[in-house]
Amino acid sequence: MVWVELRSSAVIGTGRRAHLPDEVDGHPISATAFPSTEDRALAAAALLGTQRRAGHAAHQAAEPAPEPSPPEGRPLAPAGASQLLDLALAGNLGRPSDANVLVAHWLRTADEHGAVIPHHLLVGVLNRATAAPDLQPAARQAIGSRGRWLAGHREAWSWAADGAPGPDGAEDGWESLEARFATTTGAARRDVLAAIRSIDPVTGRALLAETWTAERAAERASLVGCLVVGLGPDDDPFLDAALDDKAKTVREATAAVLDRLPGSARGQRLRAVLAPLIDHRTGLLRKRIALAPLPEGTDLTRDLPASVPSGRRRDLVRAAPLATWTEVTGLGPDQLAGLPRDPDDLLPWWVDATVAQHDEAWALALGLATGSPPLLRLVPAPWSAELSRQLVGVLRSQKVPSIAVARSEDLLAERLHPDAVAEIEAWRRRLPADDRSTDASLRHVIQIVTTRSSITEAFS
Amino acid sequence: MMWRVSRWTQQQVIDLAPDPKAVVAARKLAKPGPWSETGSTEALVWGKCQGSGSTPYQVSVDLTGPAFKCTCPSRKFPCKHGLALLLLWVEGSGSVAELNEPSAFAQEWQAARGAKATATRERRAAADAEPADPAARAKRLEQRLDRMDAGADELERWTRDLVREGLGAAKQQPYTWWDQTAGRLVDAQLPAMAERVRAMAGEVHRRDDWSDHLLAEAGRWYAATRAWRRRDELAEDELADLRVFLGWAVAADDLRDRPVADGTWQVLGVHRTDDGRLQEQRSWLRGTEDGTVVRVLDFATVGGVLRVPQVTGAVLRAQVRTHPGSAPARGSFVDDPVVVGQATGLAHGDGAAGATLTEALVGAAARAAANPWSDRSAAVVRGRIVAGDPGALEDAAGDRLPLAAGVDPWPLLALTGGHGTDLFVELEAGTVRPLTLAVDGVLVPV
Repeated sequence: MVWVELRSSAVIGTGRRAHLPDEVDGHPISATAFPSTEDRALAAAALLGTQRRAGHAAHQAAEPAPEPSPPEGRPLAPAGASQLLDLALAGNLGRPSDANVLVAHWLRTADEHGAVIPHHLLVGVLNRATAAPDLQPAARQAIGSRGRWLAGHREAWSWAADGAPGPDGAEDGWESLEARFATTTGAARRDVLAAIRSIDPVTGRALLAETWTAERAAERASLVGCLVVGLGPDDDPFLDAALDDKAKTVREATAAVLDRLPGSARGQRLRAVLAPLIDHRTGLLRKRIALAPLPEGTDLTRDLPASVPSGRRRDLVRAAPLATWTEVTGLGPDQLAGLPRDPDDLLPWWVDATVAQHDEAWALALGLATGSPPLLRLVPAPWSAELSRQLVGVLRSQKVPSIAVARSEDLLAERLHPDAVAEIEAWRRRLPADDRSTDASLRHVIQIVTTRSSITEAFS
Repeated sequence: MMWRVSRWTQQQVIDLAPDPKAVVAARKLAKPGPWSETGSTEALVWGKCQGSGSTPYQVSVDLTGPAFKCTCPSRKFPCKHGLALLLLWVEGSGSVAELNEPSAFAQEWQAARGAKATATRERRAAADAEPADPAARAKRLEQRLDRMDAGADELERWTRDLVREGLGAAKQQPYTWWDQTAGRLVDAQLPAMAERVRAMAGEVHRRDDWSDHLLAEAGRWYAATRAWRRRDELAEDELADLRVFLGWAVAADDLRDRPVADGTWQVLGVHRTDDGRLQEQRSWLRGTEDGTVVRVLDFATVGGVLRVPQVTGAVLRAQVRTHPGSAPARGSFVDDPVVVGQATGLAHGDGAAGATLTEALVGAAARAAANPWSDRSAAVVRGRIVAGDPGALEDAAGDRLPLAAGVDPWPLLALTGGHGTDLFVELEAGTVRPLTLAVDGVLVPV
């Protein structure tokens, strides 16, 4: 009597299919003790079922287990630092929305000290950085050889695996990227192209050029945006040609990329239009900076595809190289911002231009003049103690400081130097008693800045 | 010595929390700000925590239990204050100083606990001396046995009908068909049988191997009814195993004469389950002198609070009363155990450090032969975790068993790096559930 026969009788029903077991493995099932067919079937099921339950065996695997992780070359982070990471990952330091800022700071600090994440926190870090790709560059080092080994076993973590293309990526990862560019679509494909551009801009552009004419317009518009990664002068001919694309969305996306390349042919054309319009009056009483109207018949539709006639001057300022202003006037951005302007809107236009062109020098100067968060975001971290103190002063002197603080709260929490905490404390003491929201924002900034320095200290 | 006394880890504190919310709340309090008059000795940690009220809460933790006392009104146990205090202490940043003498309130509490334990012991001793009304007891027992007999007869008929009509027909039955049978088993005071029948209503639809599962279970249910009828022929341990299967719990009175083992025990591992109705906590202990393994079970309804778990790897001095039944026996603590050390390695009756899966399975088969009603066994094995869905454990011989359902392989892989380690595992239906890993001389709960 074997299990399979017994089972088929039982599934159909012994009433319909009377199969009478009288022994199981040499154990007789006596007709006296188990008179009916059902009794016998159940007795056999009890015996065979127990055998099956007790008889589970381990089996040889079809494939050998993967190699275990290589030894860790770097020391583990100190226990105190690890506890802070544990808390940050769980969202228990500051607000849950601060977690990524603190985790990023932890990872960078660990990397600076050549330390790696303790193994029990690897899963938490890999999951978080998978959801927040900004953390990935810092995480790749800090997860250590154990983390990169671990990531190699799970598709979602492949960005962190050994052999994944990174600054020192291996060849096989590279090939898989090229293959993925050919096979994926949409946002995933854009990520692949961006990854390729971050390693080898020339190959990235060549891949894009290869299929360019066969792509749909929406795909072209989306992919051309990736050229901001690793953007350089040799991208100019391709981009300039794309300004003639038949789809307006592609032309607009191309112009947005070219905004970041002031030395491009387009940049020079726009500069030639802008320079004669800049009117810088010197003299004690008549100091001002003015922008003359565009001459009749100036056609900028190719270089400014998104522009409408009423906003043409603004769009010209936004896209023309900011260096045009300093060259024509001989003044730096901070000096220009201090002059009377005509139109007065010149200042916000410069802010737009700075953001569009990612100009760090202008961002610092205009950021200190205006306290505008998008500009401050362009000022590279880490912020020095002096810059941080200056910025706190700038925000405090804004017309409506509460709005300025609310807008830049997260940025300050992320970048402010710990030495500026004293300035914020001083500011808090002078706040009107009913300004609870500014006080809450400032306290939050202090909390996160202080937590960042605790993390730094925990490593030293 | 195979153990050392060590300061706890943060994870050990977190494992004591009744739920994740309590951990979050405790972490917010685990900073020096709200605390005053903190201190610690070998066995006690105490402090005062300023809450929203005017009087700070007095918090004391007895590390040997571990046991908690807090004057706050929270019904969670341990409360966030106790957990926060331990987190602060574990951090070791000096905010909880090591002192020679506990503060007055902590000392009082510890003394009161000692007095209460003595009183409980005395009360139990008095109860032992005082016989219950034997006639009333015998009558109650007789009634119960009558009901169980009738229930067993009915279940036997029901299983016969099941195979006569066919398992395929049973699969077509609505949930109520199973539920009515389960309800009658509850009335017959066979609650564990009722639970199995009720669970089967879902399993026949959920499992690919539903017909194997239902047939094997039906055979076992039938065997249980037959065994019950011949219970007078069973040995004490065999009857005890059958009683667990039927759901006839052993009354505290009946345990009084059971042997008590007084010694040191290593906490091999702890597992908690929550089936939506009942929370169960299984703690596996191993006597450090003779290697006896016992299971300590705690239960709570959902929303209730399980007993604070013992710390994995801790070495406890405890009196453990063993329940009747085949090995590994169920045990219960006579008094609160006292932590006397921390183990760094694993050993177990079935298999020792370095054992293969086959050795562990042979042990499990021997347990199943002694107690066919049990579905679970435990062992120490040496192996490496292999990634996958569900993931597997591979031993030195290259044999593998899949990880049990619900086991997340990734934290295990992160901790072991795919290298061989000693693990304490539960074996269940041909799958393994790692409960404890020995990594670099530290026992890590999974």
